[in-house]
Amino acid sequence: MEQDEILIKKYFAGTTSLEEERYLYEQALLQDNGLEAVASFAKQQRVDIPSTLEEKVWEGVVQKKAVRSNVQWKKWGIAASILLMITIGIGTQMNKGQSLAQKEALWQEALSLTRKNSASIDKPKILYEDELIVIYLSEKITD
Amino acid sequence: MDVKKFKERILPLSTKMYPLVMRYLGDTNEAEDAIQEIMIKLWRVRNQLNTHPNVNGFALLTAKNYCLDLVKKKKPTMVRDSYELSTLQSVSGHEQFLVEELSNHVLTIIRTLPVQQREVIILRLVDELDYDEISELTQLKVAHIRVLVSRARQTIALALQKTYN
Repeated sequence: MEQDEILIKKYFAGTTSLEEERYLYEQALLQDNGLEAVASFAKQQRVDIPSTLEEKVWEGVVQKKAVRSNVQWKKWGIAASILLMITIGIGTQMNKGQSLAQKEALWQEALSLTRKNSASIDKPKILYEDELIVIYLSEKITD
Repeated sequence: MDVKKFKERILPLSTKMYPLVMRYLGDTNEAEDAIQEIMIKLWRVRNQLNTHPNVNGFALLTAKNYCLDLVKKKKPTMVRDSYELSTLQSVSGHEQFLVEELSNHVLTIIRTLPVQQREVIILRLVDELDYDEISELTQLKVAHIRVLVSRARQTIALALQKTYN
């Protein structure tokens, strides 16, 4: 009895533990102090915690983590594919023209042709374009 | 922190945070979903938890912040005041009616308390949290929280005595 009174004093001083407070609410020791309603309130507000809560939570955590990691991999896969396509596209674009060696070879070939026909060359006229060299050996147009 | 240690040390906090999460969300399925998300958040910072001085408090604070975010995202009509308690369950019978009336009366008194007293008394009485955990959640010192709880209990007792005497 004396212990209960000490406990009630501790309760009002805010020094009881949670276990002691539960004991006070359950044993209706607060009735004489006008706190029956508090005990009722505490008991009524108490939430029933599902017995399998931890298992359910962990199951969900594992599933969600797995799902999210799959999504992450998919996102990385898509990003890598786009990057690859861009790289290929840029590479193709850059290699579209002739290489310098090819151009040089063609130029030499063209010059050798003009030398072979040097006798018939009237006034050679050379036009340079980006990927094309046109050499007119004569101004006359013949059929 | 590996899976085993996480399951031993952090996962059991699900039951500790359940009443708090339920108070904010008011639905068992939503509460379970929310706790899963909170646990994923805690899993991401698991290495910091090894050295944290108040892991329980940190986990509960994470839960509270997550719930507040969820509540903010809900439609305005669904928003609850952070201190508002879940609606008392409907009951039948005279005895249950009295219990409900008493509880409603306590709730009315709690609503009239100053903000800090109201917050700590709900965390203690409804969520059944330790003072250390309440300290982490409210950023108040334990000694101060004890004073607030003490004052709140005395105010509630006085108000009830006035009514029922």
